[in-house]
Amino acid sequence: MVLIEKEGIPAVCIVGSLLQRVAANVYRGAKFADLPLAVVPQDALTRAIADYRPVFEQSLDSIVFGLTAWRPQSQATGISPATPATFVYQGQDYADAMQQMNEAFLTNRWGDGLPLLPATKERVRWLLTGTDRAPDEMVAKVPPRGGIATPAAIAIVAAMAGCRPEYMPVLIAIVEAMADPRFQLAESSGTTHASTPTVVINGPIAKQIGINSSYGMLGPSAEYPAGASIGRAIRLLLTTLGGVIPGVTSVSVMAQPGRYTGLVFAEAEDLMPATWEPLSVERGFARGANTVSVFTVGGSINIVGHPDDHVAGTILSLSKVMGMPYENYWNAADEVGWLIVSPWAARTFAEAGWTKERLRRFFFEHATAQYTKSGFLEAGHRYRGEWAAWFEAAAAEAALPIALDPDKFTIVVAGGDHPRHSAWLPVGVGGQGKVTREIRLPANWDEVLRAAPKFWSER
Amino acid sequence: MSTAVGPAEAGPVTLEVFNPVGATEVGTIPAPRLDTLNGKRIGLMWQGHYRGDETFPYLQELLQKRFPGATIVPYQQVIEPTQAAIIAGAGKAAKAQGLDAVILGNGG
Repeated sequence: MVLIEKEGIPAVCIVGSLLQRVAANVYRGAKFADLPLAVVPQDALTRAIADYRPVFEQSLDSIVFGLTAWRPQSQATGISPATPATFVYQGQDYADAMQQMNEAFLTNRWGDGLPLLPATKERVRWLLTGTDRAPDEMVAKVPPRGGIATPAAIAIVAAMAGCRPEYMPVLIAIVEAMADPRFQLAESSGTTHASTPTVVINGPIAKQIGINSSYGMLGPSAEYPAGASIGRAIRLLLTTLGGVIPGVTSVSVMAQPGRYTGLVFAEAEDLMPATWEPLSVERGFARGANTVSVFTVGGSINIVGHPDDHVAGTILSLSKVMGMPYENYWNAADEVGWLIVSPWAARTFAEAGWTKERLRRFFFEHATAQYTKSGFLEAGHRYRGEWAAWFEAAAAEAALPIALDPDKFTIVVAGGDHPRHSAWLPVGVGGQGKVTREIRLPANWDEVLRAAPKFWSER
Repeated sequence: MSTAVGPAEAGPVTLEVFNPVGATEVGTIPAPRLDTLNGKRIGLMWQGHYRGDETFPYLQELLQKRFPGATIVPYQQVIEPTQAAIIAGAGKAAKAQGLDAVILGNGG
């Protein structure tokens, strides 16, 4: 809608009542103070009301109004700062003051529901020692609301999430990557789907700041707190700057636990087979470059396999798990999912002659899904063009490849060095573009690292 | 500085924290609206969700009945009915097809 209005052509958007504020956040993020919406009952769009015709007869007036007599409420322009800049809370002691702060923030719908740390001037200043970018430099606008993410604004949510200065370069790179238009962050945040940002980190910075690439890398760890803190900061950024509020501006029906901390982990570059390239190298960066690669996933499925006993059978099992009737595969322009393979399994595959490219080809050919009638029809309309004939032929067999080409399968090596488990992270909504960004380190990086505690033990 | 949040202290404590919502920018002015839809070329855009394949043809009927002089361009002729295609090219498609106004949906 905003792209059409920017061309000078009036537009009106038909939205279900549930997504009214989601749509409003999207146009505010595009710097419109106001745009017309034709709001219809949600049930008319989800088939809960079978006969939609009376609804649309009633909505015709508001649609016509939006294109003709409607006028914006305000035509003010400029940067609107956060007001007030700070809040003051008083308590009998520090814990009581923090409690006051947390209760006020919950009332404002800021946060993830868990206790927040205070973003005081001192802590924000401390976090900003981890970057040499100007505190007020615009890094990104966070949709849907369009809050401006500067290093200072990022440091505020980082402080609330429990981050440390050495996390800041990674955090800023993730924000830059997610702001890439190909990533479709607004869609990922507003959707009814459970999609959540997922980040894999390549390069020496992963070991320098303690990003887990080993046992339990998708879960909690007191040994490796960096990934969870960084992921939590991303969620807080989406909530506060982006205005992503469940049930209001984000209508994820189920959501998922990954939305608390994202899924932030490192690739196990030192344990992967010599013949396999790290994800960052596959995406055009030099080996040893510090990068973040971003994606959104609908969840995480642990797959048990026994490659030591049967390589081909394990790979076929992986294909069968991928081949579930999961409609969002059909929305995926660039990636249908990330397959996380343990270092041990990766080496076993490689020794048996399986390159990443051969695996992707196999998954393309064997990860097929049988759709229900409604899901099938939903998927089918998307390929009326060049894929029409192919789709029609595939429909006759009712088993469709989940991806249109092998490159839509991304393979990452991580997890404990154990043969029996892999994970399939199917695509959420958005998260496209295969976006990878280099992490910019500050000139004083060595100094920052010297001050960083090391909670993890070498294995 | 100390990296700890701090233990409970004796006596009243004042905690000043930053507002986390960040600044925003406003300044894009919506397109001028039309006097009437009669005689205009109205494009329909469907992003591929929530019954648009049913509701847009019916909406086309309703519009044509109320504005017989308008040209209603069906969604199939405006742009590929996918969210990705609309995000990538809705504005250009509307301009290239000489549309005077656009109705898009369905956001559910």
